[in-house]
Amino acid sequence: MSKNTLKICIGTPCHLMGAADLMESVENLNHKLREKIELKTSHCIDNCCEKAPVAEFNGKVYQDLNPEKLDKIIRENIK
Amino acid sequence: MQKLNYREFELEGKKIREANFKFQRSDQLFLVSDGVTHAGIGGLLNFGLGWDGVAKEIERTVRRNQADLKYNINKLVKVFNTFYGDQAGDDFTIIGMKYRKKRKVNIWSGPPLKAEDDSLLAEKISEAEGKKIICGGTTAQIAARELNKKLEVGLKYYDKDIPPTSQMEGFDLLTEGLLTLNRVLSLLKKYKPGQIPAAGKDGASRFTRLLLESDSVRFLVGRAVNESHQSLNLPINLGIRSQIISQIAEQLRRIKKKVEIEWF
Repeated sequence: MSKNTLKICIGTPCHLMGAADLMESVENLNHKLREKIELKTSHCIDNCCEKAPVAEFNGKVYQDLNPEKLDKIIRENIK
Repeated sequence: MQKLNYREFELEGKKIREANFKFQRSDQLFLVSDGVTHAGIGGLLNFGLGWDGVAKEIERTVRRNQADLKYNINKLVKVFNTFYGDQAGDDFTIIGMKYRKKRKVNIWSGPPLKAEDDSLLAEKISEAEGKKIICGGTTAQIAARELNKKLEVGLKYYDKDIPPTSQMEGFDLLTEGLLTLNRVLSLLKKYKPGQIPAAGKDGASRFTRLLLESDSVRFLVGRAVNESHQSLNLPINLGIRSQIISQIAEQLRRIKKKVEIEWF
């Protein structure tokens, strides 16, 4: 079982602001890291569309992301 | 496979053949030009396929795939062209007809202006006859809540410009809203009657195929403005939902679909 849950919003605003790039960057994580994460998607996280794209990692919401920021968040918070 | 009996007469110098017959549900009728019965001349056969040969090929193709007439016609064109060694010496035409039940598709897109209509719309779509599509992430969330069903949001991008589709029991397709609708509109604008609808596993291609396969299309459109979109500087040509759907309806009417729109 993956210990960590990453939920990426794929709602229209998040999609337009690069949600697909976030998804791709997760798939491209090194195998050791990737297998610890369960990847999910959502139609909206926390109604904060003006700060898209948004993701939730282990219950905490992160806004205005890009692949580099997400990568940092994952490495710093992974269990 | 049965040959139609016809009588022949002349009308204003033209030879007319007239056949009377009973056409029943699931019956299929094929008409072919002489280019088809001659298939094979100069190719694989000395004298062409003739009526019996053509009938045999049609029967064999149809038996393998009862459901999809368009696919069968396409397949038959390839089969007969093969008898010509892929270089048809004559033009040839195949017309196929099938007696089937009317196909209906229902689409719910957008939250209603009045939140109390959420349950009404959810009920309308879930009780509708025919196929069911929900278009829009927020709309899907409302439907899941009102119908007390589990919404499974998809992960897979088949096309990087069209967000993944979701799944919910009782529905044929759940897509993202505005971007998908815009793509559906552009696919419909390019569509010419009789064409085989574009392949593609993304939400917009699947949506378009469901529309093209249907005889009547019913839209339930919620007109609430999605607050989340207001914060983005969306390109103006993405338009607003009600306008895009009106344009989709116009395209569907162009290709003789029956279209109904209910606004909420």
